[in-house]
Amino acid sequence: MSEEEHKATIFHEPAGRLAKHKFIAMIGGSIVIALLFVSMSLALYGSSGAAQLDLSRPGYKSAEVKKEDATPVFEGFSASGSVDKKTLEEFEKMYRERTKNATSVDAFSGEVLDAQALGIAPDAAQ
Amino acid sequence: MKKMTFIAALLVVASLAGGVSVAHAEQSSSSLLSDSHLDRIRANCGNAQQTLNQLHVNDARLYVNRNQAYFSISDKLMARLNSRLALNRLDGSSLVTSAASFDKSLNDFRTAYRQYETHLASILRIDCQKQPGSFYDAVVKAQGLRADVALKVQDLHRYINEYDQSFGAFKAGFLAPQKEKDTPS
Repeated sequence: MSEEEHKATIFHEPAGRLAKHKFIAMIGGSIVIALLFVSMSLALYGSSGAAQLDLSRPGYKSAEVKKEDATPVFEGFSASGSVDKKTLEEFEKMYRERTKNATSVDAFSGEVLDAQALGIAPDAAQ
Repeated sequence: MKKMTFIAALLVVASLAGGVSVAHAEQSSSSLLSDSHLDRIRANCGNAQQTLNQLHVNDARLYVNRNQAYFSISDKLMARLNSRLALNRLDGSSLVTSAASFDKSLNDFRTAYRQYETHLASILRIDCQKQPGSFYDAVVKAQGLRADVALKVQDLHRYINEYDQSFGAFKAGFLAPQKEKDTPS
């Protein structure tokens, strides 16, 4: 083997090997990158609080259907314009209506998680 | 090769330590509960888990609606009035302070609910027939986390009232000069 032929073998063989497996490397690389991005998305989905707002999760279908009957879209108070007696009264009326709805429900009361109600209380509590 | 062996050994030790600590936690929890109590938990935990599952779904709906209602008050009422007052060069500093406290409280409510929801979901995965002690402890912990969520809801309601009072004071101050003008001397 001449010196030039020897050089060609040294320098071209790895490139030839890579060329042979280029397609498989691309597929493998794509899968690894996709898995990496999916893992990152799922981590963000869980840590940001989006998961708790997502009623399309498995097991939450019944909750989602009932949510559709919710109140219509609330436009809110306009952030621009002059301030006078009429606008302040308009705001007051709007605020009272919205807050009355929001504060009327006794949310997250503790009785439902009571050990006695669940039938797992200690002997003395029974 | 030596490095790989060391890492593998480290992993084995870590997993064994984890297993031992879990077993110890289960043992210590179970040892505090009487046998009759553990039997009662085993007998009723199936129904309890069904109740908790239903509660989990109902709470999700409640949280979504509450969160939306509170966010709407903050974003579509408080922030917009504050912005309008600022555009008109009026002093609404007490309203801005109340709105900021409400926003902070809303973030605390979301964090508290996330912790509670994650824990409640983990209770549903416990095999209560095999780990009745852990199941009971988890339910007791969930009570505390739920009470924390309820406390955050109360905070939100308190700031809603505080903003209302600040608005009342602002309105009275704003309309007072106009009343003086309207009143004939």
